[in-house]
Formats: sequence, structure tokens, C-alpha cells
Amino acid sequence: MIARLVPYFLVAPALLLIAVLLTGLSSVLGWSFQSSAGDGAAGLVQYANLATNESYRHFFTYSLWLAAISTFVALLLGFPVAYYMEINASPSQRKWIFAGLLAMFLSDYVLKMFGLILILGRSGLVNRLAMWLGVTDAPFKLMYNEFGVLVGLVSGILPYMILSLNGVIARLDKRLHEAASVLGAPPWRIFLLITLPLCVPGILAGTMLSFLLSLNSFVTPMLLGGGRVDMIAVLIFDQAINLANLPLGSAAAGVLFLISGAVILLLNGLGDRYQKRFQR
Amino acid sequence: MTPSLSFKKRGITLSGLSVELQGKRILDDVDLEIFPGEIIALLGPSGCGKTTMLRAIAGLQRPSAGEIVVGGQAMTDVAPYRRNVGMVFQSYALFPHMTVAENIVFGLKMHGVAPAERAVVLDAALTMLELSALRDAYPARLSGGQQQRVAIARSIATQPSVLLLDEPLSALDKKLKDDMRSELRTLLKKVGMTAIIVTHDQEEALAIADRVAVMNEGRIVQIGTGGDLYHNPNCRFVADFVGYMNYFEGSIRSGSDQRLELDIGDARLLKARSSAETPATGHVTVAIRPEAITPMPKSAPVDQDEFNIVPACLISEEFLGIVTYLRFQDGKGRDLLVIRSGQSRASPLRVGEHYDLAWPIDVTTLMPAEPQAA
Repeated sequence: MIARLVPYFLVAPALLLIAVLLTGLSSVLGWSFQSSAGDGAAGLVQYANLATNESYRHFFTYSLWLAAISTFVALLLGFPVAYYMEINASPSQRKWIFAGLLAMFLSDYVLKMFGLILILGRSGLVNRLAMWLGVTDAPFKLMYNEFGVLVGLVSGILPYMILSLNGVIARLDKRLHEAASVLGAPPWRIFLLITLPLCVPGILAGTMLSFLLSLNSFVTPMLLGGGRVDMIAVLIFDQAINLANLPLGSAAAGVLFLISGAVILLLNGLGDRYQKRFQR
Repeated sequence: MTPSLSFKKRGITLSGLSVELQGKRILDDVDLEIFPGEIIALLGPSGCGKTTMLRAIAGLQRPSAGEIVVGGQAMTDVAPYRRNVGMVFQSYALFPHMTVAENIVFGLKMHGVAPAERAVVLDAALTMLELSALRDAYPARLSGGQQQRVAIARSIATQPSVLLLDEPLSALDKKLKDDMRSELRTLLKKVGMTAIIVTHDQEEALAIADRVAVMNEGRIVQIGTGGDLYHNPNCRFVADFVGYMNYFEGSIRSGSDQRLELDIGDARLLKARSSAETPATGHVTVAIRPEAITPMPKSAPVDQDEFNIVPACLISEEFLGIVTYLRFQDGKGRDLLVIRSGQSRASPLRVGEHYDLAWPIDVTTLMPAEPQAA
């Protein structure tokens, strides 16, 4: 009797946690249908407000844009690292790269952003070096703008991208490259025709993770954008906390939730369709 | 254009070819001449360097010394994608994200063949290997035998000068393996390509190849037709690798230009035909194939001038259908294997009885004695 109940005891904490999270989420969604003045239910007023107000809409389109750019840059930077790590690196090199990635993973996000401030700030590492070399007289403006936020987003998502790519690259069959080579394919065609197509599942997984992390990012636009770069999480924070307009902030969160879900469905669907073509 | 594939027959010359990997000599100063249109098998245990030799010819392994010449052209420093050799990999290495047809035309695309001509070659290859029904299937949905045919079709579609096959049958089950063996030889002979096939299976080597090169520790130990290797192995390694063999260690006691008398201990003399290669004196290994030996009843008359005779006791009998294995032991405790055809009408033998084991002097093989190896 007790033995049969053990599994239920074991999953109970997890179920409780999910219940708490869902309660929070549904109460946010509930708030999004309230009126801003606090006088009861208002239907889709907040959503209509978000859709019709040009400056609110900008937060969404601009966030999507920054998430897309940062994901693309992370893919371009991450692929060579993941490839080198799995294919060319000696076992000890591999260990060190992995340790570096792990450090990036485990260090606190805020800490990482402060590290970037030390590098990108007015009297940060880059500017001091540039002025010492005589490249410029006045410091470059590297943060509290779009550039700073992009650097922050890319550095935040890069380890996720690299580790997503590692898996597929490690599973690449080296003999496929040799077969292509013997069949007359020079290295660049092997990369385009064999390596890249076989990495698509990892590219999609890394893209999904990175895009969502960037899109939902709050610390980066606050610290490296100085709150002046229009990302959705900043809007939510401003509305819900600073301006005490919880219903509008909740509606923005609801839209972000819907967009994220759509991205997951889209990229998962693409990945499934791609792999179903030639597996099993 | 008629839908057929044509091949230029090219010979291969390897001279002084060596490959070193991490300070270890994998291939050690190998010379090999392969004639245009010939099928050569590289036969040996794993780690003997046979696959490395194949990879060096394909350009996938850089030799540390020596020359590779294909059809009169030096290939040693040519990149693999410029060599135009065909290669069938051990587990086929089909591109999983391409259909059968896309796999087959891949090489043609890489060589810049026009689409119209690609289609013609594709049809020819699909027809030749009976793959037409599978042209749009992905490799993961094919059986092992079908995958192998796609791998062969892909490798010959570019009409390469030589075809290299790395253990092409090892991934197939026993029955299919036996079928594909003769099919493969028929196909290779039909297209007339020069081919090198790497295998550790002696039956496969003998069945497919014109000549077999037996390799051990990075060297070619002996090269010849299956018959040469089977009937005149030059050392125990070759004799053991190609079939079973019985041995006596002995020394040459007296010899004429026709006959040698060999002392194998136990006050027993064996006779063998002398040849140019056999040493006149000293220690030798005497080798006899198990199917050459006939067990005779003790009293039976045997022509002592034509046959060698060793008395031995029958220890066990294993009936395997096609053949029966008879295990004997002689007075000095030496084990002797005799293989009798399952169809043999000879009188049945009794375990525990003593018999005279007789074999013709002509099939008594001599080889230099070597230190007892594992």
C-alpha cells in the first residue's frame, strides 16, 4: 500500500512547484483583462491599447529585431567554436574550452553584465585601449545604446548556442566527409552540402533557445541599455512597477508569452519536418 | 547516348609506401603492382595496415614515405577530391539527408557534369544495381544489402579509374554476404574496373579477387592467386590465415635434387619434394592441409614411396554436414586435424582406435621454421 504511494510522494514537490508557477502566470493573465483605473473587468482593452499605440508596438518589433540579430550573430560566432571544440581540439584544449563555457553558464547574469560594463564603459577596457593607441580622442559610446545591448545579448546566449551545436557536431560522421571528399567535393562544398545540413537540428535548437532568451531579456537592456533600449521586459517593468499600471504590463507579458509559444511551435515544427524526411 | 557506364582500366603501382601514425609504423615499405582491370584483395587481421593502405590510395591518409602511381600519374601529393578514385566505405557512409538518387549523382555534381548527362548516368547506375524502385528513398529506410548497392552505385557513377572497397560485406548477415560475394565479383568484372578490396575474411578474399595479398604488421607477407596461397603458403601466417593447416617441426636429414628426408622426432621420417626455395639443410616446418590426409586402417598396405604415414589415435569426430572434422593425436602428443567430405563413403572410424594417417608426398609443404608464435 505504502509502496504504491511512493511515486506520488516523489512527484508531489514538482507538481506543487508547477501549480505555484501556473497560479502566478494565470493571475498575470487575469490582470491583463482588468481596466487600468482598477474599476473591474475591461475585456481586451489593454491588448487593443498595445496594438494601436505606435510606441508600445515599437517595443515588440524592436525586441524581435534585436533577438533575431543577436541570435544570428551568436550562430555565426558559436558555430566555429563548437566545430573546433568537437572536431579539431585536442582533449586538453577541449577540456579548457568546456570549462570556459561552463563558467559563462554558471556565473550570475547580472555579474556577467557588470563585467561587460567594465569592458564597454566610458573609461572601460576598450576605450582606454583605443585612446592609448591613439585611435580616438573622445571615448566611443559603446553602451547605453543598441550596440551595448547587442553585445550583452550575444554574450548571454552564446554558451547556449555553442552547447546546442556541440551535440549535433559531435554526432557528425567523419566518414561522410571522407566519402564526399573522395567523390570530388572540396572542403567548402563538404561544409555546405554535408556538414551544415546535418547540423540543422542543432542550429534550430540553439536558435530557439537563444532567440527566446534574448527576446525575454530584462537585465541586459536595463544595465547595458540603461533602460533606454526599448525591449519588452523593460516595458513590462515600467508599466507594472514604475507606473503602477499592472493591467497594461500584464497584457504586454501575455503577448510576450504568446510570441514565445509561437516561436517554439514554429521552430519545433520545422525541425520535425526536416528530420522526418530522412530518419527511420 | 546509351545508358551504360564505361571505365578506363588503370593500373596502380605502390613503391616503398609507408605510413606512420603517432610514431607507429602502420604501413611498412610496401611495394605492390596492380594490373589494369585486376581485382586485388588485401587480406589480414585487424591492425595489419590493409585499411590504411586503401586510405592512402584514396588520399585520406598521407604517406610518410613512398609513391602512389595510378594509371601512370603520380598521386602521392594529390588531394583526395582531385584523384577520382571510387571508394565503398565499411558502413557505406551514405549521406543520410539525401535520397538514393541524390547520393548517386553527388560525385557527378562535384565533377561539374551537366544535369542532362547526370540523369543518363543515374539511370544507368540505378538499372545496373537494380535500385530503380528506390531512387527517391532515404538511406535510413533501406536494408543493409540495398545500402551496399547504393554505396557501390555512388562510387562508380563518376567512372573512377580504380574502385576501393573497405570491408564491403562485413555489415551484412551471413546469407546475404555469401550472395553478395559472387554478385560483387560479377559486377566488378562486368564493368572491368581495377579494384582493391580490403577484408579479414579469407573466403571473401578468395571468392572475389584475382590475386590476394596477405598482410601482417604493415607488410605484404605473400601475394598470389587463391590457389598459390592455399597450396604453397610461404610461412605459417599465410597458411593459418587461408584455411587450416597441420604442422610438424623438423629438420632436413638428407636431400637429393628430387626428394628430401625430414626428421620430425619420434624416430620418424617424412618425405617431401625438393624445390628451388627449400633449404638444403636445417630446421623446417612441414605443413599438410587437413583434407589431404586419409586415415587408413593399421593393416592397410600403403605405397611408402608416394605417401607419408604417421600413426595416430582418433580423439574426436565432429559431423558438420558438408564436412566432418576428425581430430587425431600422434605418439608425441601432436594434434592433427583431418577434414573428410560429408559425402565420403569411406568406412566409419571409431574414436579411441589407432589409424595410419597417410598423405601424398607431393602435397607436403615445407616452409622455413620460425620461432613458435602465438
